[in-house]
This record gives sequence, structure tokens and C-alpha cells, in this order.
Amino acid sequence: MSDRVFGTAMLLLAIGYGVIAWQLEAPFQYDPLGPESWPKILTFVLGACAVYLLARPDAEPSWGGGRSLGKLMVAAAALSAYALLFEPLGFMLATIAFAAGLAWYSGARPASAAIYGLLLGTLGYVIATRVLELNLPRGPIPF
Amino acid sequence: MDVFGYLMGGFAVVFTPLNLSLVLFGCFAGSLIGALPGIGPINGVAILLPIAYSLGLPPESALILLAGIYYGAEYGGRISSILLNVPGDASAVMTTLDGNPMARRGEAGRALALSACASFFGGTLAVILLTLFAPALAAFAVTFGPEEYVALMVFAFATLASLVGRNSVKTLMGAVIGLMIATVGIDANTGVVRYTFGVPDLLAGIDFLIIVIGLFGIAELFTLVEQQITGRLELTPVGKSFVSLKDLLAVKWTMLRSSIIGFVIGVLPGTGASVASAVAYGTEKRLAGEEGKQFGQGHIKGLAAPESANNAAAGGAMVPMLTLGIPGSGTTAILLGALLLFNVQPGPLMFQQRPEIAWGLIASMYVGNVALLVINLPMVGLFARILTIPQAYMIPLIAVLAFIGVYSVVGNPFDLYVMIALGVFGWLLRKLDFSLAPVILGVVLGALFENNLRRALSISGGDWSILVEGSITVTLYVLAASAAFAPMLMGRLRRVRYAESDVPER
Repeated sequence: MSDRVFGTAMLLLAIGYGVIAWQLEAPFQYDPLGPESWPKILTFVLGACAVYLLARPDAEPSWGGGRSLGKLMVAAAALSAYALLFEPLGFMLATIAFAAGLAWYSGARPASAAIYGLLLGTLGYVIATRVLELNLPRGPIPF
Repeated sequence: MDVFGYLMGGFAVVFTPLNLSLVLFGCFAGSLIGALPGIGPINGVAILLPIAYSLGLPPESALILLAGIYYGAEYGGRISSILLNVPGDASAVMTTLDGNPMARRGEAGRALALSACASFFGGTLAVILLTLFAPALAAFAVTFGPEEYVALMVFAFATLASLVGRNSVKTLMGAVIGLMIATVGIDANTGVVRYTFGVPDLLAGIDFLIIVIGLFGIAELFTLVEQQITGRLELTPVGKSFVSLKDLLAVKWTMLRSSIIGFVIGVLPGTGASVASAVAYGTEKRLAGEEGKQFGQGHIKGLAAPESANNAAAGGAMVPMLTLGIPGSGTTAILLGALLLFNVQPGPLMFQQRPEIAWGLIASMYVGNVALLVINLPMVGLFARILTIPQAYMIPLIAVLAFIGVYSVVGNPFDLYVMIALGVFGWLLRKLDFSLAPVILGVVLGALFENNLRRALSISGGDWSILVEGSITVTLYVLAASAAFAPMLMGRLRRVRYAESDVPER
């Protein structure tokens, strides 16, 4: 079933990709293939693979039930929140909150998770910006 | 200048303070990453690539560092396999078969030291073979025209489809998805904009770094969250036992055979260490005859074979990457992408035009292998302790490293979301039993494949028959076809034989 759903999605992707490919046109074309031929070839290969997958799907993978999917949703949400706060809060504060939160959620004790978050945020910032001279958002902290 | 002279030039590049410390650091970090359960070479290189890129190193130094992490991780992968029975990645699976039983017998120290020696042997033999063959292959490949490159690419994807993953259609599909990702952006030949949907950020294509770190780093994080090991891992103590000269002499032919198998499989485009270690293990088991029955119960040959092979494959995989610009494995695909980020086009001309990169890398692998042996024998206890770091701390660390890497390179919060989305997509693909190496290979080779095809047809004025002219192309297509159909035929033959043996005798 999962393979069939994925195969359908890929077939739709192939169709959508193909529709665009057939509309591509170069104003001045120097080579016989132009920008559209390669995407057309890929459309056919992906389409053929998708049809094969629909016809002969593999056995169903184990999705691990609601609890495992729930954990993944939390992880994805945590990552998105981290991305959202990365610039406004700056690397240090965002990382402290994110790392402590996710470590705690992944099973660390609250106190150790908090210490871990603090260390990762502060040491990470100092190492990355001072030692490695990388560009990271500073946020409201003035140093 | 002969090979020896060039190699000395390479050593001159390596023995500068910066590059020497990068080799040592790369090997050390690679061993650590490889030792961590669940994180293999490809994820390690993917997570650290953007950081290495944004350090502003010259290309040869960055490549020396990343390659050190690559074969260091291939080296360190055995530690978690032996002590925890948890392979770091696919190439370390075979190491668990005999390594872990030895550890449970109280011979963990012997197993670790023996596998370190086997890794050293495989890695070093591979670099020697690389030194000898790569320049010759590069000199030969200089004559390749676009039609030969098209044939090479077809060959690469055919071997990939038949040897990687369980379902070859899924492998092909993954490669096509990668090739499609590579078509996003402005077409370099005509200036036509393709598949950007009006998003200006996409005009230059989807950033390679974001694809790599999303598909490998973030997807790995999701997998760790999902399979999170609750409770404490049972760590076998390392103990005092050590490898003896007798052990080494007993496995010398095993190491030699497995290293050669590993190197050859590593050279084949698309296939890497995981296939090599499985083939070497199977071969040794068959050759051992009666003794082969003890494989899987902690036999030293069963441990030495996959370890020599996977390290030799890591060296072998460098050959097509350096000489043809076609990577031999998922990890070398990332290294190749790294070179492209530095505007260095790997290929036959690199040996002449940028010898400091090609030969510097090769020389660094000699130094790195010695360093790994020296680091690994006495410090194995330290690496073993790394294994006990709870995953609760690993998971945020991967995310933070990925964020630092992507942000410091592109400096754009939008790309962080793209990275997370690609991570979800990568996790989904893995769940559906797709392997991710073909996807990244498709991304890296997409432009090269298309441009060579178009160049070939420009030369012929649109006549497709140019693709099958010349003996090199025809040979490559025959090889590609046999690679693609061999497993199918073998499967059918085996089935026929089974069917025959099912017939009751009269």
C-alpha cells in the first residue's frame, strides 16, 4: 500500500514534470537537444519506474505505530521551531532552548538536559564564531 | 615526471602544518563519528561538509579533511559493531557477524586490534593501488569524448541499480529523482529557466549542501528519534587481550584477497564498501571450506575479511572520482560535490591541472592510514567510551551541527526549512527501502550527464548513433547491460537449479 501511494505520487510528479518539460523552449538554440529533451527523457524513466512500483509493490514497511510517528512529529516541530527562532533569538538562545528541550524529550533528565543545552549553546557559539570564524546570528545578545 | 615524483609533490602538500593537522583531525573525528552507533561515514561527511566549506580552506585542504573523516569513519565503524553489535552503517554490518561473538567471548581487545590491523592493511593496499592505477586511468580517460562519458554514466547507474539496495527499480527511481533535482535552475547552455516556479533563490539550483545535509543529516536524526534505544546499551568491556603475530599471519591471505576484492568493487562506479564487505565475507567463507562453518561464531578470518574490504573499497572509490569525475560511492559523491563547490572539476585533467589536489589527497591517505592505526590501537578505550553517550544528547547535536553548517554557508533562514523538508523526504525514502546514495549520485552527476549527452549530439548534428560508435562506448554498454541483467539471470538460473533438484529422483 505504501509503495502504491508513493508510486502514485511519483507518477503525478512525472506527469507534472513532463508537462513543464514539453513547454520549455529556448529562444536561441545552439544544440539539437535544447533544454527540453533531457527532462523529457527523465519524465519517461520516472513514469516507467512509478508504473512498475504500482504494479509490483514491495511488502509493507513497518511504520511503527502512532507513538513512533508522534515522536517524529515532535522532532519535526522542534526543528521547525528552531529554524523559526534561529535568527530572531540568535544562535545562543535558540540553541539553548532547542537542545535542552529535545534532549529532555529524548529521555535525558531535566537537569542534565538543561546543562547540556546551556553548554551546547554557549560553547558552540564561542567555538563557531570565535575559533572557526563562522557566521551565526547573534540575536539580542550584544556580544 | 613519473608517479613517484608526483607522489613526493603530494607529500610536500601534506606535510605543511595546516594540512598535516587537518589529516590528523579528520582521522580522529572520523573515528569518533564512525564509532557512534547509527552514524556512518556518509552521514558524518554530510554533517561536517558545510562547516568544512565555510572555514575558507583551500580546496586541497578541505578535501584532505573530508576524506580523512570518510576513511576514519570507515575505520571507526568496527568499534560499535564489535562492542555493541550495532553497525554504524551498512558497510559495518558484516563486521558484527564475527566481531561481536569474539567480544562476548572476552576477546574484545583482540578483535578490535585485529580489525584495526586489517583496516590498515586494506586501506594502505588500496592507496598503493590507487597511486599506481589512477594516473594511468586518468591518462587514458583524457581521450574520452562526450559520448564515452554518456556511456560511463549509463554504466555507473546500471551497476548502481543492480548492486545497491534490494529493489533495483527503486534504486533507479532514486537516481532519477536526483537527476531531476539537478535540472532545477538556469540551463547553462541556453539560459532557459527550468523548474524554479518563479522562486529567485532557485535560479542557481537547489544548493548541494542543503540537499546533502537534509537527506543524510536530518533524515538520520529522524531515524535516530524513531529507533531510539531506550535504556542503556550493553557495552562489552574491552579487556586486556590483544592481537598476536600468529593471528596476523593466520589471516594474511584473507586480508590480501579481501583488500583486492574491496578495491575492485570500490572502483566500480556506484558501488561502495557495503557491497565489498559482503562479497569479501562470502568469498572467505567459501574458501575456508570446513573452517567456514565457524564463521559467525567469532572466527578471526570472518572479522578480518570485511574490515580489510570496506577500507580498501573506500580507497578504491576514490579512483573513479579522481580520474573520471564519477564517484564510486555515495560518500565520494559528496566529496565530488565538495570539489564542485570549490569550482574544481574532478576528472582526468585534474591530475595535470591541479596536481596539488589529486596528489595531495592521495599522499594524505598514506599519512592518514598510519595515523589511524597509531590513534586506534592505544586509544580504543576512549572511542569505546564514546559509545556510551546517550542518544538523547546525540540527537540535538546533529541538528545543531546541521544548522550551523547550512546557516554559515547560505546565511538564509528559508534554506533551513528546505533542509528539514528534505530530511522528512529522506526519512520517508529510507522507510520505503530506497537507498539514498543513488539520489545524491543523481544530483552530482545530473549536469555532467545532460551536458555530455547534449555535447555528443551537437557534434553529430542530432544523430543518436554517435552514442554507440567506437569500441570504448560499445564495451561500456555491454558491461552496463551485463551488470544490470547478471543478478536477474543468476537468480533465474538458481531458481531453475532449485526446481530441478526438487524433482524427485527415480
